[in-house]
Parts: sequence; C-alpha cells; structure tokens
Amino acid sequence: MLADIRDASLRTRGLERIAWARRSMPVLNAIVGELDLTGRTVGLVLVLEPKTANLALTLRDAGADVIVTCPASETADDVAAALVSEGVAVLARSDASPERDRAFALRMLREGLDVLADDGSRVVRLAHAENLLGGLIGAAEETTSGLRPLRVMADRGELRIPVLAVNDARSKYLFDNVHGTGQSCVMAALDLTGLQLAGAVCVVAGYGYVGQGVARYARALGARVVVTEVEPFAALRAHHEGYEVRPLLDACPDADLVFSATGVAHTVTREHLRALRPGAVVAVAGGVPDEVEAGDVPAGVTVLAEGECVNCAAAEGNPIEIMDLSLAVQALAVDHLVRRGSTMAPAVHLLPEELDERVARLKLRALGIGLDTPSARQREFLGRGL
Amino acid sequence: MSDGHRRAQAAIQTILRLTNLLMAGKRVAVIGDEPELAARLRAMGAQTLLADPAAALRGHRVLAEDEAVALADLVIGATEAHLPLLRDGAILIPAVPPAGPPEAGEPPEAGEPYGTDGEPSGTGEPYGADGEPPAGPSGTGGEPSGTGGVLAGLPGVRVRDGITGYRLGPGREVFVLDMSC
Ligand SMILES: NC(=O)c1ccc[n+]([C@@H]2O[C@H](COP(=O)([O-])OP(=O)(O)OC[C@H]3O[C@@H](n4cnc5c(N)ncnc54)[C@H](O)[C@@H]3O)[C@@H](O)[C@H]2O)c1
Repeated sequence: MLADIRDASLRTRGLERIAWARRSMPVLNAIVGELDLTGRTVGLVLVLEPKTANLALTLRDAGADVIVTCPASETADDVAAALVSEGVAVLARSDASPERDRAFALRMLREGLDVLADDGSRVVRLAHAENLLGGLIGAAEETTSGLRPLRVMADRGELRIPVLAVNDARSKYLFDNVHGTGQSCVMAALDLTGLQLAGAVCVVAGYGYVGQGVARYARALGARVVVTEVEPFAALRAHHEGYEVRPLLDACPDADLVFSATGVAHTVTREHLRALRPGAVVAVAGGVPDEVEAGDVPAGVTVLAEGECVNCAAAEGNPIEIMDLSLAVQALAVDHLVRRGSTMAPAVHLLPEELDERVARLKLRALGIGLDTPSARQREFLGRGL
Repeated sequence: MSDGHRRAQAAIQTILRLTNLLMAGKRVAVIGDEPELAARLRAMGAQTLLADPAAALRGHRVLAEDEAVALADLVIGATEAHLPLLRDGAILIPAVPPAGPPEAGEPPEAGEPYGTDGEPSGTGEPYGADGEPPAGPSGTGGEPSGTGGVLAGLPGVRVRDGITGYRLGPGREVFVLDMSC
C-alpha cells in the first residue's frame, strides 16, 4: 500500500481525534450505505484532519481504494498515521517541501484515479498541465477559490473532465463558508494571539459568505467590526447589517485585527500593512497565495500562519458538524461522478438539487427538527399564480 | 465587569479548541451567574438555557435548572448532582475558570468546583453535598491530561486531549472538558 507519512507512531492520537469527530457526523453516517464505489480508486486532496479522515474512511467503507494527499501546511501527521493504520493510502507529511508535495500529487495521479475530490483545484489543474488525466471520470471541487480557475478553463475550452461544484451546494456554502469558517477563523486568531475581542476593532475585508461569518462571530465576541468591499451590493448589505463600511486603507489605522475574507490575491497589500499600528494582527480566512502580500511585514505587525488560511493552517479547521455537511456533499458528489460522470460534459456542474436537499434533510432529522408541509389550500394558492 | 468578558471569551475559546464543535445551534445550560458568557454564547447562535427569569428579557430561554440540564448539549457549571439528568453525549464544563494564566503548582483545595486549576472562582457548586473534594480528572493536579479521572465513583476514559468520557449506563456517555488545558 502507498504510504509516505512522517511518523506512524502518532496513530493512537489520530484515531482518538477521528473517533471524536465521528460522533458528531450523523449525515456522513447516514449516507454510507447509499454509496457504491466498489473497485473504484478515489483520490482525496482535502485538508488532512480528523473530519476529512472520516470521509476517507466512508469512501473506503463504500468499497473504494482511497488515496489521500495534502500539502504540508494542512497535514496533521497523527491523522495521516491513523489513516494508514486503517488501510488508506496516504502521501502527506507536515515536513514536506513544496516540491515533495507536488511529487505526492503526481504519484497519486499516476496510480490511475477514477474520481478526484480536490480542494483549491490544485491537483485537477496539475493533472491537466501534466497530461495525467488518464481515465479520470471527473472531479469534485470543495472551494470557491478552486472553482474560479476551473470556470475560466471551461470558458476557454481547456477543461477536459466534468467537475462537480461541491462548494456551490447550499448545504455546503450556507454553513461551511459562513458559520464554520467564521467561527473557526475568529477562534484560531484569538488562540494564536491572546487578543481580547471585547472592545477591539476588527476589520473584515470582503463580505461574501466567509466575510459575513467572520464579521458575525467577531461581533458576537464584542468586537466593533468594520467591513471593506469592492462590490456595491455586498457593501450595502454589510451597512444594513450594522457594520461600518470603509475602504481598507482608511480602516487600517484603527484595526486591532484584520481578516482577509476575499479569496483574491493582493487584498492586503504592503501599503495596507504599513498603515496598521504596532500590535495589529492580520489573518487570512480566504486562503489563496498572496492574499496578504508576502515580504517585509512592518515591525510590530503580525501576519498569522504565514498568511495561509488561519483555521486550516494553525487550528483544527472548520467545526465537526459543519464538515459533516460539506463532506457528505463530497461523498455524494464522488458517488454521482462514478454513476453519471461519463455522460457529463467537461464543464463545471452543480450537484443535483435532490442530493443537496437530501443532505439538508438528513441533518434536520439528526437534529430532531420538524418542518411544516404546505397544505392543500396553500398549494392551490401557489398554483393559481395570483 | 470586564473580567466577566475576559472569562467569557477564554471559556469559549477553550471549549471550542478542545471539542472542535460548532457553537451555533447548541443548547447550552449556563448554571451560576455568568451573564457575559451567556450573552456571548447567545450571540454566537447557541440556544442558551438559564434559570433566572430575568434572562428571558435578554433572549435566553428560561427553564428550571434541572430541566435545562436535561435538555442541554453543553452544561456550563455542571456538578455531580446533575449527572442523573444528563442526555447521552452531553458535554460538561465544570466551572468557568478565572481569566489569566493559571497559578502553577497550587493543589486544588477541598470544596472547590471540580476541574478548576486551583483558584477559587466564586461561582458554581462544589461536587458532593458534603463538601468533600471531588476526585478530579487528570489535569486538575498537573498530571498529563486525560489519563482518566473519576467522577461520582465512575472511571473516566481518555477521549482525546482535554476530554474525558464517563459511561453513566448502557448507551449513556457524557464528556467532561478539562478547562485547564
Ligand atoms: N478557510 C476556510 O476554511 C474556507 C472555507 C470556505 C471558503 N474559503 C475561501 O474563502 C474565500 C471567500 O469565499 P466566499 O465563499 O466568501 O466567496 P464570495 O465570493 O462569496 O466572497 C468574496 C467577497 O470578497 C469581495 N472582494 C473581492 N476583492 C475584494 C477586495 N480587494 N476588498 C474587499 N472585498 C473584496 C467580493 O466582492 C465578495 O463579496 C474563498 O477563497 C474561499 O475558497 C475558506
């Protein structure tokens, strides 16, 4: 079995963390029996931590040969060791160089994948560039920032496989991007700095799904939140939700804590960094390279986790219950590609509505939350069109 | 006043770091007088359950303490007396530790809330009506965390760093957080 990990003896701690996460993943538990991946080889390129490990185990239980790889900064060595002890192939170590990370991804592709679940579309793009698509039926992509380049490729006619936009499933982005990322990025920044949020000024660049969540959780803990935007509707929305909206350069001198939540490179430039006061802290909740410009950071200013997304690189990632939803979508996407991928055009596709809704309903059931159903009179009203 | 905010943030940080769970949507019973903590939790989307009738005016759900504990996913300020009431999977936060760095080396004193690091917190009830010091889980006395403590005579099982599990009966297990982690 394929394995290149840092320390197999860390297995027990990894298994403990995987088991603790499993307790709060009812949706993934409920769908295991619905998947049939017998004889398929599935590549996983997700942040390697206890929740995604449960996705790997779920796909294995559904009959797949699973190969996991992950860049060094997002690899938990104990979880890698635990997965190997459970018979999952893992190529990931926290001490790998960027060259080695790339070699891991190439090695995974050369194994001959049926389906790939990617994060940031790094490996989908690598497979195109290196002509290693082989018999790949299709890929599922987890993030906003990974889908953007794939859509550009599709527009140019360069995308050669169907891609399911896991990120764009409502049971993913309405909860993962907003609540999961919001809570976990704010808490990671506090854990790393010891900053007291009550009375502090927190600047959030970008008021998309992630920015809304970061702003909400920072405010919940007592911060005064300032939002910056480039898009008029997002800016107005932030204004109506009670946040101050200002240009970033204007907000920097007041900031104790700055989050970039845009997923766009060069959001926080050197000029912005210079406008911060000593003691200010900058964190990334988006997660593309150069979101905070690398290079000389002014004295007294701290960029957390070397500018990588702070919840994934310097904490345990998104909360368990949220990843239950996102990873259930991933599992259904992988299964859907196996069943239907060969009939799908090489383009970025949404997950079929019924699969997305199934995840939401399973979560509601696990929570014991009941819904009303429209009455006959309501259905008649709605059907009248008046 | 500001100490309450500090304690609240510190407690929320520790709970979320130890568990990796989401606060939004959790039913959280807050036992004892922790208004800042309750407000923060509510703002994070928790359904806070409090016994003080005036808390209803601040958006909390008011329930008798026993009912709150029986409904809760998380119990803050939990004592041994609550054990028979807890749901399967409930998470117990024994008492909100004081803010600031713990004073190392100070042994816990008799009658203190279970699980603190030795500083009296002034809130929460000590375990055991007779004022006997509870046999704390590891972490209370500086041993490596999670080697298993004892709760109401039950042996604890290490779950992961800072979390000890106690089996209360068939199909009923609760988890105690070591807030000094
Ligand atoms: N850390 C995590 O765990 C995690 C989880 C989910 C998503 N993400 C990432 O977070 C990023 C944002 O995701 P999203 O779903 O919120 O996307 P989104 O498209 O909904 O939001 C991005 C927002 O940023 C704004 N923006 C762009 N450039 C800006 C600038 N220079 N200044 C201010 N605002 C600017 C846009 O107008 C938009 O409103 C993506 O990179 C995504 O992949 C990270």
